[in-house]
Amino acid sequence: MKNRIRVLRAELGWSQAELAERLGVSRQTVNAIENDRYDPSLPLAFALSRVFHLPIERIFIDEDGDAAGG
Amino acid sequence: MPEPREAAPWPYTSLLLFGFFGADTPEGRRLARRTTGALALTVASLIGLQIVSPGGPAAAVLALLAPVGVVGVGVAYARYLAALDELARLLQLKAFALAYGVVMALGMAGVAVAMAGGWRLGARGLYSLLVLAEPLRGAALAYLAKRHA
Repeated sequence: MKNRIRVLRAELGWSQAELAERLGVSRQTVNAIENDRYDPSLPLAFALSRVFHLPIERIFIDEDGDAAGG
Repeated sequence: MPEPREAAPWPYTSLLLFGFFGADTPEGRRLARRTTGALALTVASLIGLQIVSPGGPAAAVLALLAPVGVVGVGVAYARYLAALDELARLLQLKAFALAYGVVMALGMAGVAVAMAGGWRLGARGLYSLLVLAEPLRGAALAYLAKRHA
């Protein structure tokens, strides 16, 4: 599943390490999600939603259809 | 314009050689300490079994200590897995499943071949298989981590 995490993170001026710390995961996990190598669990997706102050559907892109929220 | 990618390499040396994400975190250090202690107990008991006379009380105690050490390793890994984040935990579990699945398949094949050929399998052969599982797990872990880099 594609996502906009790298762009959102850059907009806030955060490094991967900083985002990882806010999420309570490793930097490798943030990197894997950004590179579409790993789809996070629902709790981690909600944590991303909280740190970016955005609904999940604005962060992740449903490639099987439209962006989940349009 | 897309944002430049940052590199976040996995600790491949530690994954390959030691089968965990390194001792630079508190949970990693705890795992290293606990598994070293548990393995030392197992190895000491196996060496002791070679020395003491079979069938005696000392041999019985040593025979009990060997699996206790292995259980200790299992408990240490269970606690380690609980402390990892979700991707690291997933990689560890996949590597365990892959390595020990291969070893179990090899063990079953060995037993089947031995039964078919009328040979007896020694305890050392079975222990060797278990020992093979760990480098296999390290290789699987490094490979799986590479796929998530």
